Amino acid sequence: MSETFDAIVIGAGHNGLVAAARLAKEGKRVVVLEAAVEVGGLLGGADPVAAMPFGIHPKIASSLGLSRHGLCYGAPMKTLSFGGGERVEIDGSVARGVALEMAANYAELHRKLTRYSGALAKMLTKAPPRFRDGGLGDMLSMAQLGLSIRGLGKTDMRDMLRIILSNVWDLCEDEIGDGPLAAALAMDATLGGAMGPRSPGTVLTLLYRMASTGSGGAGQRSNPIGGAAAVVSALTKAAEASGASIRTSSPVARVLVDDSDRAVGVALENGTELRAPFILSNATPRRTLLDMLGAQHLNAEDVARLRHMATNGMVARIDLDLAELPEGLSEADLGQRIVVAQDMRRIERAFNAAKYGELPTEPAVEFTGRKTDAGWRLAALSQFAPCKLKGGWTKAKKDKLAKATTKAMEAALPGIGGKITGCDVRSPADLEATYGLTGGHWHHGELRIDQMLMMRPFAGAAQYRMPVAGLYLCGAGAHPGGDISGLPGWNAAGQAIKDGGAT
Amino acid sequence: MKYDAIIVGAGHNGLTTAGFLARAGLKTLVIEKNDYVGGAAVSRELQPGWTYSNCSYVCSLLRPEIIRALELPKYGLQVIPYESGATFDSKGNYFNYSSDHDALRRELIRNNPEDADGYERYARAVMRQCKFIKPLLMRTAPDPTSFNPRDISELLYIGKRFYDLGEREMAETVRFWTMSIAEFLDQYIKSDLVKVHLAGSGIIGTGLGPYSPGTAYVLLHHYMGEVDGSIGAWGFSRGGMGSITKAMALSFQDAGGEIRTGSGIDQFIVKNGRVVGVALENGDEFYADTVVSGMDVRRTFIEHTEQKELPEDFVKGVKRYRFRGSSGKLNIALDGMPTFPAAPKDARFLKGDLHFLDGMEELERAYDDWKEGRWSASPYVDFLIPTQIDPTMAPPGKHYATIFVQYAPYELANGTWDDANREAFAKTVIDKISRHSPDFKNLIVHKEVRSPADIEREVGLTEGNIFQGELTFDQLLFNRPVPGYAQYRSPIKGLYMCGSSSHPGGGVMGAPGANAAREVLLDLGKKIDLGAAA
Repeated sequence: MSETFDAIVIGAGHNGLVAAARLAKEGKRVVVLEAAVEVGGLLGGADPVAAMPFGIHPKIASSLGLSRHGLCYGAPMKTLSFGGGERVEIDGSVARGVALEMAANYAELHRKLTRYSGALAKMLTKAPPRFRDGGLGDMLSMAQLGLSIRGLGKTDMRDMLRIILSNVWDLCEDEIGDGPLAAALAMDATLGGAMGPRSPGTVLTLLYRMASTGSGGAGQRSNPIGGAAAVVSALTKAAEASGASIRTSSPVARVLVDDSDRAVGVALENGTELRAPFILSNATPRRTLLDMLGAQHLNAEDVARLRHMATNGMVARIDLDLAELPEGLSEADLGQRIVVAQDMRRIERAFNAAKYGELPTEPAVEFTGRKTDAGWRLAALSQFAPCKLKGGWTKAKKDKLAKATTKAMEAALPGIGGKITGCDVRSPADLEATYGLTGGHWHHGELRIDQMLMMRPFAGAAQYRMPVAGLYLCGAGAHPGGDISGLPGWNAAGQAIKDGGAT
Repeated sequence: MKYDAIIVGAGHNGLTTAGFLARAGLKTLVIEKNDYVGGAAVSRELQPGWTYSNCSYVCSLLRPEIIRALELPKYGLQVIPYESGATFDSKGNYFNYSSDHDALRRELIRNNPEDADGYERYARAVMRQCKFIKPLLMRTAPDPTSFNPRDISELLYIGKRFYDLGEREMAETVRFWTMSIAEFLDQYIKSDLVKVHLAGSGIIGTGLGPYSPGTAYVLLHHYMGEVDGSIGAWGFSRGGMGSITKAMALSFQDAGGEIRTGSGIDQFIVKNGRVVGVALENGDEFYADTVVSGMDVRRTFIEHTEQKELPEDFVKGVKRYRFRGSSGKLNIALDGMPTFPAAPKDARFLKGDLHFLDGMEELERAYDDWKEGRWSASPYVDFLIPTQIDPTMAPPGKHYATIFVQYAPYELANGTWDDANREAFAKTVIDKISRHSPDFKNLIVHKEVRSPADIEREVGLTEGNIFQGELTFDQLLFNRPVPGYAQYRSPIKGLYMCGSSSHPGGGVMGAPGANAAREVLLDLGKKIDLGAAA
């Protein structure tokens, strides 16, 4: 006799926990099944992959009462961007350490981008509308997007429609010029993806990131006090307080489907079966649909879509131990987002190598850090490091990347190289193996216009409902995608609740 | 002297606008800086006995509506289709594209058995996109920010066409317009050689690599033409590309139009915010209330218009507009027909477009070179010998080769486009071809080498961009050339744009010219049948 629930959530990453908490709050009996020994996914562990977990959406935080469960955010984070000897400090619309004219131009650019991302922000908190054949609600959503873009006024609307599909390189070249300031924007636009600053579409990813952090597209970000662990703990408590149960070390082998092609439960790898009319998967689209559900339940076109979904992860996570901080880097700095990319040209060059499955000689780096007993530990992201590396990811390749990364950091922060006492590299291939991230891709799939909104993960399956009834996608592979906003989980749970009617 | 309308620049678009205006009864003058008409659609004899299509070299995009309305065949235009082409790899294999369906199928199977069906699906997908976009070419792009009834009705027209595609196809269309040509092809084709053969159309003339999002659209831009109703087909204009503009000029003159060559414009004469005429470099002045510029948007408004006559935002938009030339060209007089040892004897595909590539990575690396201000070490070449089909272009037994080269930067990182660099660039290209055709080098009688800087200097295309500006989304439709000025009108009353800087952009298409003529005549209260297919 198998256990029965109202809903099963596969995976206790932050989106899975958000979905479970929302369902439980609605009175559903929910169980979360996590393959690993602990919850949290990319936010889990002592040195979580996502070391800067800003941005659980304010709407979710307040609905789930996350502050009651111990989640509170620190002061807004600054970005420090280092060039060769330069240090640029970015605090919202204010840029320090650049020429006055550039600072003024940046302030204007920031104003514009904030407005444009605000126009997109409303789309993030609900299921994306279908192109057609949807309901009245979908038509209203479309109309609302149209109106919010119209609401920008003629000048800004024209400007937004011009730049929205273009690249961050051209945008920065036009508005502020290249340098550490532009590099910081370009890092935001490209981090986690397989696009360089010159790739068309990177303005959209930048706007998108701004829209999904802070409220109303303000782009403001603050790290939680206590870091990633605080987010995981608050979400876990919120889910459990509403009655959801979480089971770790419970890897799901497959989704059970009945004769009428409806998902009715899951089978764990140990053979246990659990049943529920609603299954929400926080796994990637490909793992959910091809590994757990099985291609036999999909039509050929959807299988092709899944196989061709762009999921080439290109970020490696590197932990660096430092005996002491180099000159020019203070303890206060480590709480901020630090970018070491120098300029957009170097980011583009780093991308060049990765396109061919090679490692860049000079990766672009983003890091934050914390104090440890022995000194300091920096949590760095090094890009571009392709998951599909020619010859595969070996120890030698990791060493090579670590060396190139510290060399690039040394060039911008002289003295840092000599202070490094330890180094641990997690390649995208490691992330794929450890967390089941298809292609080692942070966002469960490239964030590009052809994989966004009503096309995420693919057209016809973009409202969290997967091709078999009862199965939902609640991870970053669904709209609105990556970053630690919790929105895919929140929206997916909302859709399941809607489909299930009132309890 | 006073005219009803003056057109600046006798390129194919300028002549198209001029042709329509003259046929509508306007007393029309065309002025041209060179001693010959044609712009980038010219045939020139730089080596006695040989005719070169110096710039553009093949024909497909020229709208059939324009050919009919201006009666170009009557004035000598003849387009001869070529039916095939090939890409050679460095291992001695080749892929022979052919418009013969069965032959193509056999060839696809020879390269990879799965590709025969994959190609069918690919061709259908591209054809659906062609059908969607074609009616938009000969229409003025609506301004999405406008509440003007015409803009709203045009938006609804596009919206309805989009809606009518059905949900699945709507998504496919958005994907197609935004994805890279490499990924688009990956969905259908397995063979590297077939893929790279098809990918060329996605990067020609464009400062993007095959991995860049947006290049699938560029492919479409090269597929939406037709020769004799055969969509996607390409052909040679008999006597070179100059025959197109020659026919246009004759058609225009027959309708009463006048052409003055040999002196370019110095300045548009503007009085009280209204254009009243043009002042030429030689001191002549001509007057008209309607002046249409076929030059690109930067030359028109930054070089030949007084800046005080223009709003600041517009000037900013024009300066921001991107050219970034990325193409070079070699025209070569050959003493005989070169041989290609990898090709079967008397292979018909040698009459078509030939390419020399191993795969997509080589093409992308060629782009990386360009980004760094170098010409590609292993460039993409579009190599044709039109004299096999059109013997009028060379003495008997001799041949003419046109070699389009992607990528070549407008500005070199190390140095300028001097003779030494031009020669080194030519050597890179010729060496690459010689690896596949060992006798090619020795057959060269004369060669003309054109860098983007040369194209700018001779033709007037800023930075040598063959499309008068990049075909990226920020410069297409209502964004082309400057948002708010995408309907062929400029901030100066009476001054219009008819060049490829306007919608729908470059290629020897004539659509911007025809659309501009429609807008001019609309403003003058005249109606004209452009023979629009929509």
